[in-house]
Amino acid sequence: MKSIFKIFLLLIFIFPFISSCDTFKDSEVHVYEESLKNLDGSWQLKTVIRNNIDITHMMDFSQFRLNLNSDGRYTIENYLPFAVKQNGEWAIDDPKYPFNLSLKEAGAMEAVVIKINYPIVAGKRIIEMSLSPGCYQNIYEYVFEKVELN
Amino acid sequence: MRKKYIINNKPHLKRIFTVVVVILVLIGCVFIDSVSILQVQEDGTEAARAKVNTEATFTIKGSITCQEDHNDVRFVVSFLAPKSWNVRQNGTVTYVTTLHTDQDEVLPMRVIPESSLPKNGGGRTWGEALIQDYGVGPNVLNDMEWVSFETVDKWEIYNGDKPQYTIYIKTNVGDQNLKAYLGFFVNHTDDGISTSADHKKIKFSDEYFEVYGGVGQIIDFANEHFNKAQPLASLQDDFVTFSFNGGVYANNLTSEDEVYFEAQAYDANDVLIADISEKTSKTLMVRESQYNEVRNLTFWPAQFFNVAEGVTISYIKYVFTNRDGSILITQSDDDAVVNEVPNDGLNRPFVFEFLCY
Repeated sequence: MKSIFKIFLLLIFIFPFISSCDTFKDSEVHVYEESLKNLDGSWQLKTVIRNNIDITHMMDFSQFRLNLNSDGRYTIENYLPFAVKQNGEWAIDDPKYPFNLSLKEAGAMEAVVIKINYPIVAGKRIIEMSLSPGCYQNIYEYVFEKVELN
Repeated sequence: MRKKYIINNKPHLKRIFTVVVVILVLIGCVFIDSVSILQVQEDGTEAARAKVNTEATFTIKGSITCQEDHNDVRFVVSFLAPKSWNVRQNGTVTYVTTLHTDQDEVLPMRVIPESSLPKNGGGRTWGEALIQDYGVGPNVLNDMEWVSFETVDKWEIYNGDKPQYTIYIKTNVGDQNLKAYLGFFVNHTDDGISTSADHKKIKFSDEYFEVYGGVGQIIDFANEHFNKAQPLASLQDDFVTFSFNGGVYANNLTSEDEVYFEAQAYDANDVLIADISEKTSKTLMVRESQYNEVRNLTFWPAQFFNVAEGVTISYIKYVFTNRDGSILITQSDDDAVVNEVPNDGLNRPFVFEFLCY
């Protein structure tokens, strides 16, 4: 008798859990499409890492600007050692998944292709790239943030 | 106390605990017994030095007390050396081991490619993990690298095996005069730089190794100096940091509020390109922290010396000074304190060569 009572209590306890479970059937078919990435704009050099050591605070890098104009041309302001020196034309390899930024200096036969990352950090798109403008042994990581126009 | 109570009152838990302890104890595997950086000299004696552009051989002797089975394992050795030696390309590593049926046969090791990551390195390469975990050991300059090699052969090693090994690292010592402590690390691919110290061992040479007989400055990785330049391998389109370390030896400049960098740039024909002696924010060295006496100045040399298009800086001469130029710290001062000799009083400047090797 006692055990029947226990089973009864147990069923009462379990019932809400069983009855609350439901199988959700998703009738809608979602098709997710990667958005096109818009790199147009003025990019400010925010972080410089030299051979894995952050040297951003050691000199003023912040005046360097890479302007990627919507007409496919780029300009550089306040030049610092970079992959290219002269202004020219720019392009990315894939508007959905940009991994390569190509910069072709005016008058140059070939473009310089830079591998980039384009993640969102703290709610902002950034461009990360690795360069060796001086001695090949020294690897610099440049991190650019888009200059917000007010 | 509670754990002890449970174990003492539950024999099966006690057995499990014992097994776990035994397993932990059994994982005691790789040892470095000795490291030799001595080289045979021209006079037949042995010393920790080699002439520039010659080959040196460094020897590691060790043992393994294996108390668990490993199949298809490769043994790994990593070597910390100045980057200028380019060990990745110039190094040849071989070994002999009593694991092998022919214990005298010299077997090859090969460079571990960057794409082959250590099993427990957290996504880092072998070189990245070692430089982050162990740095450059007792050295004071960072322009060194860990280069890792693995045995070409895979080995099977069983519980109870106690093999011994000897590893020979042979490499060209480059053309730069230098002094550096060398580092040696052993591990294996089944462990891959895990957090346990049992399967890996590290040892730095007790004395520094010297490369002599070349032209130019001695690059001293092993001793503190008033001056430091980073990266050592730099060209005029790098960002170079020059440091005045006023805390390592007594001097009059470190107590000054402002310390400035004064420099002259020369081309390969010793023609003066630029003389920067202004005392402005451009040359003011910035104190690194309130806890040390290091002051730094980082700049892009081509811009700092206003180098015209097509002109290349070969080297610079520099000194550290105060605002009115009455106090100087020079190579003469550095030699006097580091080598404990009288100051020659010539105020010879420090020299930095723009090289990429």
